[in-house]
Amino acid sequence: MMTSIADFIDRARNKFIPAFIGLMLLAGLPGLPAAAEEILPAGQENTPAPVKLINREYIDTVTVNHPLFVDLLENGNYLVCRVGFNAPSVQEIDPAGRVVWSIDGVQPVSARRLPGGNTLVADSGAPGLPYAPRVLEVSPAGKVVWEHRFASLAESPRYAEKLANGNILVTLPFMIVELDRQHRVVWSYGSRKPLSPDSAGYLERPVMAAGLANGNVLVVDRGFAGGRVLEINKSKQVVWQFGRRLAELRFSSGVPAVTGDRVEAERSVPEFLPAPSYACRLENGNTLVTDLGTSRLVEIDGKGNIARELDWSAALLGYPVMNTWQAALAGDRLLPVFTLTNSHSRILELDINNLPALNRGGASET
Amino acid sequence: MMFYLVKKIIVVFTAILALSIAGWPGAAGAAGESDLRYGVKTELAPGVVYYPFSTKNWSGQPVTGHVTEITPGGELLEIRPAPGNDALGGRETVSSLAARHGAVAAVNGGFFDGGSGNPIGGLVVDGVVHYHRDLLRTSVGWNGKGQFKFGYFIPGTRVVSGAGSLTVDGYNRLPGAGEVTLLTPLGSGGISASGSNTVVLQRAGDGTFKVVDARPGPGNYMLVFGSARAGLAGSFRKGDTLQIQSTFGSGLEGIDHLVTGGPLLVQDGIPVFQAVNEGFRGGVLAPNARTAVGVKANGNVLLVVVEKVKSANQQNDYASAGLTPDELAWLMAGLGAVRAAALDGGGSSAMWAGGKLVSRPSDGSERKVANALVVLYQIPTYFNGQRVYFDVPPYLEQGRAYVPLRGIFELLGARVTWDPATQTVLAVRGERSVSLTIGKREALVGDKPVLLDAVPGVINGRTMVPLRFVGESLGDRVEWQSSPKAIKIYSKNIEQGVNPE
Repeated sequence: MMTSIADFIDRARNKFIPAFIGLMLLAGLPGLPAAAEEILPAGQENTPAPVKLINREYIDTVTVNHPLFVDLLENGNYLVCRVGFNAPSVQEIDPAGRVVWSIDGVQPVSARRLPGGNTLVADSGAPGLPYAPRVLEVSPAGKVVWEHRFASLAESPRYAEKLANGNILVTLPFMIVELDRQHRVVWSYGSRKPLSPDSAGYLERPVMAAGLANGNVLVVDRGFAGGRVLEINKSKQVVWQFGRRLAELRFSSGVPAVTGDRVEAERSVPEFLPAPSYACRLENGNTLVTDLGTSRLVEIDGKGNIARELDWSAALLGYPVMNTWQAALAGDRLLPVFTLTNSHSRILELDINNLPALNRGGASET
Repeated sequence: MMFYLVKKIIVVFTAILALSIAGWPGAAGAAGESDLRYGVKTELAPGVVYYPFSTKNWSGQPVTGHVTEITPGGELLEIRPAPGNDALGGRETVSSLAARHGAVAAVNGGFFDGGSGNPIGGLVVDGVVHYHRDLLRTSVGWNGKGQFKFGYFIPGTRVVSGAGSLTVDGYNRLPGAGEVTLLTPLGSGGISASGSNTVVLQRAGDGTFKVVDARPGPGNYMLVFGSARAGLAGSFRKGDTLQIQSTFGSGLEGIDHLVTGGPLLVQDGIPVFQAVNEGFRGGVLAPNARTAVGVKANGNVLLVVVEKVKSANQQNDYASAGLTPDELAWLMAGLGAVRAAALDGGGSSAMWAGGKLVSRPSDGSERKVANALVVLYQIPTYFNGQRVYFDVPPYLEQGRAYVPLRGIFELLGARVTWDPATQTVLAVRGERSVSLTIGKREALVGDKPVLLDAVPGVINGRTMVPLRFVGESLGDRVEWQSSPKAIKIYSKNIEQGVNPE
């Protein structure tokens, strides 16, 4: 039987370990920017920005499934992936809230509208036969024009997008694969099975892989206790990364009990990404990363330095948020997707140009 | 300033401590199996072993739990779903369910609706679908040999007779106008259906069903026809033999039992993260007490309970912090599961082993649940074709089957009294009485002395008598089936198909 949601949320807030922060400061993993010199106190509660933050709000009252991933289409419609225990689907929803197109029979974790009008869907295949984990390309008429099925739910895709060369880049539980149209794996990074953290190709929980103009691949590895964003070249070398790998400590023995406030601690270390969910490369070469754990949009330069931090937490004020699923970027729009404690959901459309800079407050020494 | 210096020192010291104990980043194993610490193993029955374990969650908090590992296939060894109070909507603690089934071990089963008590998903017992709610969540099915399968439960049931077949549209609910539904003994008690649009069935020992002309009782099945199909009911005649044939969905072929849980935790030995995709959200994704069932590469079955218990001394500290579904997936892989799924968790999580509750309830006291998975090591006993259970189950000793006198006699409609002064059991049914004394081979049936095969014994306060004595005393038919071993008892006073009440 389900137990109290409020109780769970309360418990979940007490999970962070200050030791992790200290570990980050000490460990200094190769390829990562220098650690912060000290842990700064958390900033004061950000006040709502004077400009209107929310451009559009989609109110979703369905409770048997919920939006998980949203893309903003050129026509202004939303392409929404709905997952759940009943009637999951991909839906195109117009600004009036009408479903103008849909794909049923999928448990979609990502959907992308392709230039020709087709839609590329990553289907988790949950909970199993007759459903199967797969990536499928669907025409506007709803015809499946290409499909790649994976053999096992252990290869359930997390995200898929089409590359400029026509191949499909698929994010799997512990690896990234590039498939050509003949279903051949022409490139991969990672392993079908989880690797130890010190292994080449180690990915803890990748949730997105995007092709870059330079031919490299930008991966968001959400991790389990903090994640990272990394750029991998075709030779499978990590040429850039940001964030920390904290999961090395998972299940490790002897770590002291959890104390402290998670949000405060997370906000105090800029390089820590508690829950990165989406990333894109900007024209200036910097990388934008959304972090669900801190409601933060981080722009990182090629050297791994933070160019700016934007805060969307003010847009969530007043919402009793139960789960935040995703915050994807579409041009200058940020699309947080979350479910409330009453099991209704919201999709917000925020103009990132209107987002306030994160107020880290500074040390108010006394 | 001083505050931040102290804070920094504490944090750095904590980190050094963590590193010194846990090792530098990169040292830990991917699956964390090396961090599992196992307690003493205890054999509960041939092929059934219990052991506790401890580990850490990803936040470094302590986690404790319990495993019952079963090597399936052994004679007399079974894993069965046990509905609370033997009814849909019934609720009973795992301890109570385990005790009255004479189980050697048990864990809580699938999720259930807090209001109705009905399963959230499906329930199959002995090949019969008792409940189905279409949910895109992982169900756990298994056969009588303890071979487990995991998949999406989509039942299909047909009633086949010599005249043809019809499809059942639902289970333990009243039909819509154009539907036919099947009421089973687990659910029929809570559903009022009678009249000309019903057909009452009695399950026979060979698994077939006979149409009976009787008032439906707790042991009966019933077909209920919607108003638009009521005419079909008239095509069934008393004495007709029917088969009820069910399928359960792709990947669940050949199962006998099923409960719905979720999410899928392990596939191909790899932890998978399907909780959100199976529609779990909110607090269910947070650390909590957990129950899971898994299968190892050698076919052994793992029943696992993870505890969430606050520390005795510190209000905000945990003796066991519980796990998220993702952490549970890693744990199950670390325990050696190649396939695994979660069952109901939180306050429902409970494990019984070796005659007691071994897990600590997260709610402080044990919750009543809709069903449990009970591990039995006993001679299956059937009463008028229906499986029955006893808190002290029948057993074999030197080739002779012993059965609990009170349990059997009460099933047969006798009133049983116990005189502790004389250590004498008296059973009375109608004009007939039976009396026997512990430690003596001679019993009295009415006024006639009867010599038992062996001296009656006492186990856990229950008088155990040789099976043959049951037949000799009250005159009922008793059969011993040698392969597979089973006891079958038929009451001579109960007309086939009619409930004793």
